Amino acid sequence: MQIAQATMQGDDASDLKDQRTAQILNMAGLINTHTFTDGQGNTVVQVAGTTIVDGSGKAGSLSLDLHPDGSLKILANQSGGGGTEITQFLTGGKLNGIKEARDTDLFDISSKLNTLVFDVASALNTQHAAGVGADGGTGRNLFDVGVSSTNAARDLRVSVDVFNQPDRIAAASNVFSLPGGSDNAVALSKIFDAQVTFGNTKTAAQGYGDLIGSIGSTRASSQRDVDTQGAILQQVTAMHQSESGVNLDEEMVNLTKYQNAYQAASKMIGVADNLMQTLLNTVGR
Amino acid sequence: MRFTEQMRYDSVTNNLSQLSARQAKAAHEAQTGLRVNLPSDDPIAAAQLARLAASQSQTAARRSTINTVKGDTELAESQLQQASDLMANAKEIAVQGGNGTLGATERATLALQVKDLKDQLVGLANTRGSTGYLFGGNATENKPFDATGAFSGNDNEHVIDIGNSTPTAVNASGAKAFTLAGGNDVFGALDALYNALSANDEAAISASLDGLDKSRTQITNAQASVGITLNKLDASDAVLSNLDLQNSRSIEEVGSVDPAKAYSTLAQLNNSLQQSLTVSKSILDLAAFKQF
Repeated sequence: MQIAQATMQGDDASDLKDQRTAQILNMAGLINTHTFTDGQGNTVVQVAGTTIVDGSGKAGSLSLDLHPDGSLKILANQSGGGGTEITQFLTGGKLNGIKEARDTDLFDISSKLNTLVFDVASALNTQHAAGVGADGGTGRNLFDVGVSSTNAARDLRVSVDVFNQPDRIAAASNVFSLPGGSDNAVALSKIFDAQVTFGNTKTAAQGYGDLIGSIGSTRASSQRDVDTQGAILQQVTAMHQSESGVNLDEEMVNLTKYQNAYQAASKMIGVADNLMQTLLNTVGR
Repeated sequence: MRFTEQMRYDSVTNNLSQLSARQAKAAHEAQTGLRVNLPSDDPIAAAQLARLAASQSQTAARRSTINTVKGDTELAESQLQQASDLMANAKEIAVQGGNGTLGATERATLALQVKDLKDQLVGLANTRGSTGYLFGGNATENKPFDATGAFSGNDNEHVIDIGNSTPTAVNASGAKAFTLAGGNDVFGALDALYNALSANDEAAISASLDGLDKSRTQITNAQASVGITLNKLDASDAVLSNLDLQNSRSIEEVGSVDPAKAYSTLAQLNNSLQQSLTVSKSILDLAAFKQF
């Protein structure tokens, strides 16, 4: 709007245009942004396919929300209009990176960890429930993990059935071997070597090792991506700079050139002036 | 291509920050002595380290179990040794009592000694270890033998997991050492001797000798089996300590840096960083304006 007004009044709007370009650049770092100039010469800004700044200069906004399942929901709110969900149209920028990391990579890791914890705790629970505590009770769980693996790692705790009550630890395998029986305790310790995780194909330690390994390789590969993208960015920035930036040496040369040209021109004027004087004097005489 | 001031500045800061990141990593490695501080440093090694750490903690748990039960097992062995000595004493008394020249009074005195021996034996059989009565099987909370020598315990085993595929029994069986479950009732044999001495019955005294002998053998056998258990525990502990050492070595091999190498890398990077800073300073000096 300001630019349009300034241009209409015949003023130079370059400063404002520069500001606009800088803002759009910032925005492009956040989200995939597309701009074009409409019929009236105004700039229209679209993010992820939705117009957020229209030709009239009215600006909308972006907002964050959560889906019911806890994943990110990103909305583009047009000025005076409702919000449009653009989550699935994100293809680049910081927002897309955050979304990918949070809802894909980290979610994947945490669900694997949850499954691992749930599998191990369930295996221990089953064995523990089969045994008998020193108080003669049986069928108790050792851990509370809930019925499914969702949030198992977060919610894991010693079962209320046995918490602070060591005589309820089912070390014996039957009531006849109380109170000194330890068969079930040995059976519990054997679970360390039993394949209880990753669909009963790996022991708890192997499963955990695999998880660590996969986290490590994910991070290492994203680190490599960061390095590669960083190099590309550097290259692109250099190309951008090459067009829009200044080289002090070059400017220096130009400065000197123009200075010399100026001096030459003033000398020329001096000479011309001199010539005129001489001419006038000669003719006037 | 125009090389602008911004590019010059950017590339200098970029290279400096890369260099200082490498220097920081080298410093961290030299400081901690660890090559793998984050899983991403070496994913395969990190996974291996997690497994080794798990194996190490399992080994430590098994060794601590062995050390806990070893005290009790050693105690059981020495108590059985004493019990076997007591039975030897009883046999001596029986031989003495079988002497035809002895009268009823002398035999009554000997009978009292036998009664004393039996009380001592009941005391031995009721020894408490760190986790309860040693000779009562799983019934560790109640005295397994009453004053008459009647057994109220059971013959169940205390099992622990010491690393081999089958759990190992570590307790000495009181039932097999002292009661009919082992073939002879030790206290019954002593009772027979006591009764024969009290009744001044020479024939019964000599008849009791066989029972006493068998009882002593039975106790000695029990002691031997405890000795074997102790050997097994020691052997397992040695194996586990070897495993522990191996694990520690593997952890070091997989996760540690060679100190000499780490320090020379660090020194080298420190040097390059220092020189880069000097060079950068002169690059960023606005050389073009010097002429003014």
